[in-house]
Amino acid sequence: MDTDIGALTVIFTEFYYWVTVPLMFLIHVGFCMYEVGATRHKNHVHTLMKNTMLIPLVTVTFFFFGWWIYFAFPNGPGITGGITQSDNAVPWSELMGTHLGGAGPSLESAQGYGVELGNSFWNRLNGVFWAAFLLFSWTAASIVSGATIERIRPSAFWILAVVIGSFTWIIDAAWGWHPDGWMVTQLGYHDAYASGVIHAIAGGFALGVVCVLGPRIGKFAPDGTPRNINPHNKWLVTIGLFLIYCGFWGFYVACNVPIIDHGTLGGAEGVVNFTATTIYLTPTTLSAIVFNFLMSLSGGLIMGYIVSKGEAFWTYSAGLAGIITASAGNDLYHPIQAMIIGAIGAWCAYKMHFWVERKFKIDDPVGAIAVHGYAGFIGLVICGFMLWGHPATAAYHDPVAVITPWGQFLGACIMFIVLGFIPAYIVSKILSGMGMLRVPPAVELVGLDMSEDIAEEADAIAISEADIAEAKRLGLLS
Amino acid sequence: MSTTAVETWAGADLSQIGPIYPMVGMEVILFIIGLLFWLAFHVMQAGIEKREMEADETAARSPERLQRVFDEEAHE
Repeated sequence: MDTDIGALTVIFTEFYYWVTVPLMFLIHVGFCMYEVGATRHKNHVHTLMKNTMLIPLVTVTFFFFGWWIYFAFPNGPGITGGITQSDNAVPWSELMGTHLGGAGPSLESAQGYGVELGNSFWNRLNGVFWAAFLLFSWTAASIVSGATIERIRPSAFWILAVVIGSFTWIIDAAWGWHPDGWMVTQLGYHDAYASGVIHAIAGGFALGVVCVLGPRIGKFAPDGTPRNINPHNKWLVTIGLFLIYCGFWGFYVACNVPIIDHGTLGGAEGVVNFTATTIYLTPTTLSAIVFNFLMSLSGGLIMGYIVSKGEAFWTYSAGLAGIITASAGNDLYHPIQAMIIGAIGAWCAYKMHFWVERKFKIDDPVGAIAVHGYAGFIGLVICGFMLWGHPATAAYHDPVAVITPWGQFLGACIMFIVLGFIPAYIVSKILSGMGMLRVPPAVELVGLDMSEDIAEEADAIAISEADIAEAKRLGLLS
Repeated sequence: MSTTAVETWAGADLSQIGPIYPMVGMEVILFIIGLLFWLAFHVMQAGIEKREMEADETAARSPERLQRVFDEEAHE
């Protein structure tokens, strides 16, 4: 931090990522409200606790190994190379704690990633960047949570949450979101705001779990016709979705690098060009986010209202689907393109949700697989056509990888199927085989909160009896 | 005496100061403790959940209670 511009760049970047964390926290608040609202009264507390406890579990495991995977696995390993240097991210690194940038007992290894940028760059940014990625992890796990409500055992869900939150999603981030990830450099994969990296994988993962878990009791009539199990509290659901919209601002912002000299990335030699970039270190602007986030949200909401005939739950969800569909290319789209793409994604998500429900008897209570999975997948494919030929890689890469429809389609399959559906299906099968996946039918019928309800009834009776006794002592009751 | 590498900020050159948390050099041991803490949660939670499910199943054998749940569900 020995020059003014260096200090400003580092401190601004540190603060920038810090701000994204509380904003993204709102996503989790929204998911909790949304899920509890969609759940019947008899399962409220378990639904809330299921989603709440993924926070500490994904956090500690992301500290233990998730962060390391992001830096270690851009090459596969075994696809374009081996495990890469990542000693800044191992849980015993000095950089995984308060560090001012000077010498420590293990300075060489602790310098780690980004040391060439100087100014104690990574010493100060490691924690805030870790936290921003961690909040993505929570989001991925929380998407799965919604699809499994009212019948999964919390213990099983938390194992699955760790699998996606600290393992599979961060592998996909290393492959398709790291500026040197093999999907970026070999396939030209482009996913600026995580249509696939978060949403398609989480949707695919949720589908894998739900296929093994099965539908809630009563969801399908004997002839296979789906029944509506309506949200218990539509207000909570819709305000929850509103909060997710709010948190999405932090999500988008966290996908960018706020300030970096393009000259240091391989831009015009000798020219200083400070710019914001995507996570791939390709130039964009924060205005792009603002334009395209709001226009894709609007496209989704408008289409959602029309296609669902004004149904609140699906109108809100379609807004989300709109953003998710356009997210892959929202660093570059024209706002009206983002709006149209958002509308297409919302229409597809709505139609596919009900088609899959009828055809395959898939019970997804909150539409998470459609809104995140199908919309994310479609968004990646659309991006391949819309941005065909645009460079996917930063200026320092030679040769340049370009965005193509086939690269994006393959990327979408890797996200949804390879890293989403398949690991979830396998882990769920194992848990199911051990009798650990689903609650017993009797518990599902009586509700997962029953033992708490009985204890609360006993407490209320005891207090009532004490009040009656006191009223009698005071002569108020005979 | 300080548990950290810093005894005073007076005259300190920050560029020469590295980690400032306590017990620098014990990170691997801290990691092992953290790992055990995490795994212990899963083991203990499985026991809590088992007892809870048993209590729920016992409650479900009461037709009156079950009927009350279904009545409430019908009015949600």
